[in-house]
Amino acid sequence: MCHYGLWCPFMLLAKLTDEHLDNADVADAFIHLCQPIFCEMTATLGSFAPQIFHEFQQYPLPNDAQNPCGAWSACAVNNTRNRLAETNVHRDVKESPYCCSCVFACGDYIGGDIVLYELRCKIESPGDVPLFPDSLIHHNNEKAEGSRKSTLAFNMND
Amino acid sequence: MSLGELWANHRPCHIGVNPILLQDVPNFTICQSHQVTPLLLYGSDDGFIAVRFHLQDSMLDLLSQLSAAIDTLLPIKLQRAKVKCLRDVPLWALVSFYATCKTDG
Repeated sequence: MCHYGLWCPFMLLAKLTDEHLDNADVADAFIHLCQPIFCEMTATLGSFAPQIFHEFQQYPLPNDAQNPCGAWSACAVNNTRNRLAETNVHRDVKESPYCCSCVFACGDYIGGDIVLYELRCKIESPGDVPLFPDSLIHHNNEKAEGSRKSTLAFNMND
Repeated sequence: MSLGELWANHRPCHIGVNPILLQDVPNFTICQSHQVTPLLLYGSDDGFIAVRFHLQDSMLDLLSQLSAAIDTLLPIKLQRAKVKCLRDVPLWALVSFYATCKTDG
């Protein structure tokens, strides 16, 4: 898993993640490539959850910095590398309970549905983009055959 | 389930998922993709919880580009991890050597 973008664990002001700084050119290029999807995710957030969208705008950023991932400040990139990988059931407890994260998957795979436990539903993931409060809802993705890659846009709580 | 309940049950630490929910996964509703209409999920208190939308067809090419891009991202990270491990070898050799000396008396 790689983390790119801005975050601020135990800091007053957000800074680029170490992984981003280590490979700034590659990370910038990747985030640039994702922009059309981040834009669509941001538009959806603004349409259906305008209060959360507004909340995201209040997060302090360093001078001249903009959120790199649309409304979100950072993204986590996962790659299953052809393993029959499924994630553990979890909540992202470091994120605010009043915020939403957004995930999209790509790659050549079958399965890998996203399970949202408290909502008692599964979302078929290829091409689908769920936006949900991942600190409130237990979730995981089911086994995926093939190479499943995903990018999760998020904002950290502290 | 209401949004209020979700907030009330929130803990800023990992707690296991309700075992009843775990057992009930095969009966969960499968939300099938819809090209146009987003799926909106509200709580019983009408609080907005989640939305699922489908990427436009024009984005599908982009997804395959992203898939290729992610393949190039992670090997770089692995290479760096290997370099880090190699860099630490002399340190761990020293630690191990001193530990062995101490054990041997």
